[in-house]
Amino acid sequence: MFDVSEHSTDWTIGEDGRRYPPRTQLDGTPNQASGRSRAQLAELAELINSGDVAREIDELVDDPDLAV
Amino acid sequence: LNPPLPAALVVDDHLALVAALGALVLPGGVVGTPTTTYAWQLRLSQALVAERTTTGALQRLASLAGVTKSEALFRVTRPDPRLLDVVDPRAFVWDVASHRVAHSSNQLAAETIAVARHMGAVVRVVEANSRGHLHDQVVASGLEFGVWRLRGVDGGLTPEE
Repeated sequence: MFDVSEHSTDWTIGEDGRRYPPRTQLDGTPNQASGRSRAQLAELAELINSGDVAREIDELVDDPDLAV
Repeated sequence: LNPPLPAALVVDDHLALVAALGALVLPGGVVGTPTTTYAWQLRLSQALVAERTTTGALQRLASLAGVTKSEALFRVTRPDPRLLDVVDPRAFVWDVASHRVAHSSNQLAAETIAVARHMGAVVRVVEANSRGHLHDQVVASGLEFGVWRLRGVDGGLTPEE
């Protein structure tokens, strides 16, 4: 078994019980995505849920060994 | 569809990208850092490297996340280990080779299964990756396979309940 808890202490447990990632990358760069507005995050979720990203990846990665 | 946690997670390319960008908010039961495989990382990196003449979905995704496509590629190829763990495939070459031969599996599925088995992890993918060879192989292997539809919350994206 792997030690899956090595970095898990860097995450914050919210009041809602969810685990939130660190707000900055190790190199100090802010995690821009986590700071986006609710509307932008909702749009991001919608884009991923729509399947458009998956269709594009499938088109661009024409390799049976990497096919879903 | 989504077997109960707690468990460690092995995730697909979409969830790995969101995690690498520091925007994956995990349900309480998830143990440790989200993990993906080299094959998922390669698939995503290959798509991010590919040139497009028009604005594509990946570019739109990066823009909505507040980064450029090349920054997204940097985060995926050199992920912050606190946010996303990419497992070295060399540790699993025997398992992957055996699974490929025994089950006519492709590399993506064989690596996902080998890594999830070793970690005692569940596999989570987005809906668009939830049908086909990978799904059939993972389910046939007896591993827990679940689909996450995402929604926005303050601080990132989290699976719908």
